[in-house]
Amino acid sequence: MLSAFVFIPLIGALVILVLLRSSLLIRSFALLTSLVHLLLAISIFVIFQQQHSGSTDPVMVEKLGWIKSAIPSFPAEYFLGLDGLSAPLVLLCGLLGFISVCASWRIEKRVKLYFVLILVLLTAVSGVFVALDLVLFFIFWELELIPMYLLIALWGTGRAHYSAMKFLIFTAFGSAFLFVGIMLFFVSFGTFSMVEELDMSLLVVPAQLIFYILLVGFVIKLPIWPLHTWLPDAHTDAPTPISVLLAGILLKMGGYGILRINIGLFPDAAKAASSFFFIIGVIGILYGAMIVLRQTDLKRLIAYSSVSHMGFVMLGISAMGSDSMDAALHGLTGSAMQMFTHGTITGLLFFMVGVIYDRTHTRHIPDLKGLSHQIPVASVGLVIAGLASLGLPMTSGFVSELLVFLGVFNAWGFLAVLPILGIVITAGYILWMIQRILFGESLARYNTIADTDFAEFLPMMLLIVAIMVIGIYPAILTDVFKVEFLSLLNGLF
Amino acid sequence: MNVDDGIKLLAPEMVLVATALVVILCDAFDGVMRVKNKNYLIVIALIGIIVAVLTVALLWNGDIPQSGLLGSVMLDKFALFFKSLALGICAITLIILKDWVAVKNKYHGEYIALLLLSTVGVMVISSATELISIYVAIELVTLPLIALVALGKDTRSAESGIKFLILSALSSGSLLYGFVLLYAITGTTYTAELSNQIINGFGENSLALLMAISFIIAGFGFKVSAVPFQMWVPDVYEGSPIPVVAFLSTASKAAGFAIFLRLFQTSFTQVDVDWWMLIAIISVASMTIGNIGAIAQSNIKRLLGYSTIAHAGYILVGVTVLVSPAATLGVQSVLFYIAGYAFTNLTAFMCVMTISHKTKSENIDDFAGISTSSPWLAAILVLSFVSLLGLPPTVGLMGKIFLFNAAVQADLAWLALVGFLNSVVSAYYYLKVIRVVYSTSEVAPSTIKTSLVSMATLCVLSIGIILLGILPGMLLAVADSAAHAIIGG
Repeated sequence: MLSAFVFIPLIGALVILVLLRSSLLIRSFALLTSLVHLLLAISIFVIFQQQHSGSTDPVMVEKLGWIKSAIPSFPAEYFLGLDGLSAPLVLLCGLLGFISVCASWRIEKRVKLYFVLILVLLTAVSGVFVALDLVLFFIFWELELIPMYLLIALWGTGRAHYSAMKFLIFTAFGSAFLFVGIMLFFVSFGTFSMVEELDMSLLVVPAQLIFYILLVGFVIKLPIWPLHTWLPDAHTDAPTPISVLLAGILLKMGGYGILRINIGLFPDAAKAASSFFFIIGVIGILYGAMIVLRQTDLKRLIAYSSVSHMGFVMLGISAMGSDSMDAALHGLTGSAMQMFTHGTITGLLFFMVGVIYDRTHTRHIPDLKGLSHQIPVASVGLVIAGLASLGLPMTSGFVSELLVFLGVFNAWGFLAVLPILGIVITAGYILWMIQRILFGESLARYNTIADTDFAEFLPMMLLIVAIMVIGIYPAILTDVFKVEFLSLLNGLF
Repeated sequence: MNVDDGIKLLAPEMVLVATALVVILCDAFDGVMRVKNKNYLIVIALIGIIVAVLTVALLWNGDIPQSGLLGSVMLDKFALFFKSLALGICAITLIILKDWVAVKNKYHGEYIALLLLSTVGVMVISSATELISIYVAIELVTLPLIALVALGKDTRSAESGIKFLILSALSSGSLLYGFVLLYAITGTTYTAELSNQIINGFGENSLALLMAISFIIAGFGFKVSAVPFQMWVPDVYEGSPIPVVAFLSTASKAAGFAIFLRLFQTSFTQVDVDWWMLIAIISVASMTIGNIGAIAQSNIKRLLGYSTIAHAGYILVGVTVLVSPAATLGVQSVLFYIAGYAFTNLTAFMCVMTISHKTKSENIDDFAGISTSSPWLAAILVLSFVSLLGLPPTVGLMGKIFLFNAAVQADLAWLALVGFLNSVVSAYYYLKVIRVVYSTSEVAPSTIKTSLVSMATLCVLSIGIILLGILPGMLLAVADSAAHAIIGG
């Protein structure tokens, strides 16, 4: 089932590559593939909830010998499995994959190559979230690079070549550290499995060292100040559906890596590093938020807000420094929730910006005004996304930030005021952005533009439903995450 | 010791030498028969290669390891691995050559015969265990190549030929000087005895030994195009015919590494000289200078020339670990990497030649729009570049994983990190090519016709690149048994 989930987009890509010629057929087939991918993701999540019943052992495990069967001294296996940390992200992956393919419907340039690449990209990210073998994980992690590079470089706007290269160089730089970390792990423990019991005394290097080596790879992807500079460029120049994928799933790979590998495998080192997470998180939140204030390009604005929001992931992790296990649990759950909610919210934000850009052909905020009169439905979508982004209760953004702060207050006391400032600024820039582009007197030159059509309305509603459902009944996800972190923290406190 | 047995051990080489002679004779006398189409020479050569491959297969399953010719050759799985690799490279080079002579329409016989002879050299090197045999075999690889480089007979080709000749002579001199010093210290030319003689007091820790090893490293460094012996590479690559460059960058390099591994493993691992540090430095320098040099190139052959320097650097990482307990892992991953790299590089050169024959240019910018007119060719070119860059799903990534894994196992994590960071640098220029291939151009080139044979070869090669990228176990198991042949255990 997991293999099907991972490889169905790839099979779809191959079919498109070899068999299909007409653009309409290619589009429809890609949409169909991503729909199947989404349905599989949903059914995997449902089955997971029935099967896992409170234990943290991975379910739906698929294991094949792979390299191990040929060379026992290199025990890399084809090892897929699902646990509380990956199940929600699988869901997110299916959801945003489908939405980005929907949003790509209007792509006219080199349709075939575009959809092939986007489907290969989906296979790569799906693989990252379900791989339980470090080598397999690394291969999926790297597989995403070339498709993403080409998607930004060939279909992007502005300085697309520059941004695509910057994205690739930054990520590959991180991969180098990730790889060395994985190999040090292997030298120490003789296994690539992420779910085995590890005897920390076998480590050939200090646990802190391997922890930070691995961390470099992930924080670049997340991205965290001061390694975030590729993100605004990539987002600004990428085509909108790719921005949705980038913000929605690709950044989550970084967060997932930290939670699964750094914290999952080296909880002690993570606890010891909590002040590092706190400092980096707070700087990211405040710096990102302040930079957002002076952006005039809508996509750049959202990109920097992502930097700020990803700071909350780090902040939540820093709650591990607390003496109370509940606080640490809240913090970690908040981090994981923040990843999921940011995926849906920012996905929606980018999607709405794309809708607006399609009609007005500009993302420059001063050129936009009073759009709520001309495209009311799209405006509602943008407002909901914005409000969720600033953490309004009843939206998912509120849940994750609340959880993070529950943990952080306990761990850091008054220092937690600093990130709260970030929330205030966030409210400021989101509302200001909405006010500038949606309200006020509308411009005559946009009188003729049409509101969302069905192909846009459907993905928009899907995301809004996801945001609201989690905002109203977060236990769907928090329970899943909590089980995972609880067993992790049990060994720690 | 029976000379007959020794000759049996060299059976594949004999077959190939005979084939080369047949090709030359046919080429000389087919005027009598009024033969116009010289492609039959390539068929003869390929038949010779197939026979040689069969003998290699027989030997692989036969009674090995076996030493022969008064102990100067050693037939083991390590040697057979390189022999089959050399034969494979030679076969593909011949197919590339077929397209090349179809355009240039001259010197069929010479090219084929010289290529076969050079291949014989590579095969002999892989089993040579005596210093003089090693030297002769290396010359056998290089001399035909010098002629091949210069055979284009235009100014650039001649310039490349002269450059290659002078620097080859220099490196051979250095190598020979190293050998002479070794002989002076130990009184033997047999690699198996060198180690014991040195340890038993004939000059361990002596300056002469250090000099000998340094000179040998310099000589081999030239063959594998490692820094600081790399100056000839971009120039010679630019001026030579593409089939020759393809052979030079794969078979000749494989030969260099084969003897590097065997000589250093059998003779110097027990010796108390930190030569691995020297190789580590050369390795880092090669990667770095190769990758940085490639960034500024606009000619695709020069770019691949610099990239081959960088790859020599990666492979040297595996040589560095010879002195550590992870030696088997190192050898095994070097073998895997060389094989993967050879076929990837051949694929790249084959695509590049096909395209540049059409565009009449070796400028990277002129490759724009290839993907619209010849999507499959473009896809295969991109695949080979992705493999050179070391990203999934290709054999290039697997090679890097195994190679750097060996380094980390040998407590050289920093070297692995440097290597991987270097491949980040290489991403810049490989991706530039990939992007150009996929970009659109105003003057859309017309569809590039490829012959059925070369298209089939390209397909087989690219399937191999992907297959080994997903299931590397098959090749790795073979490399593993070859590695055990020279390390034991």
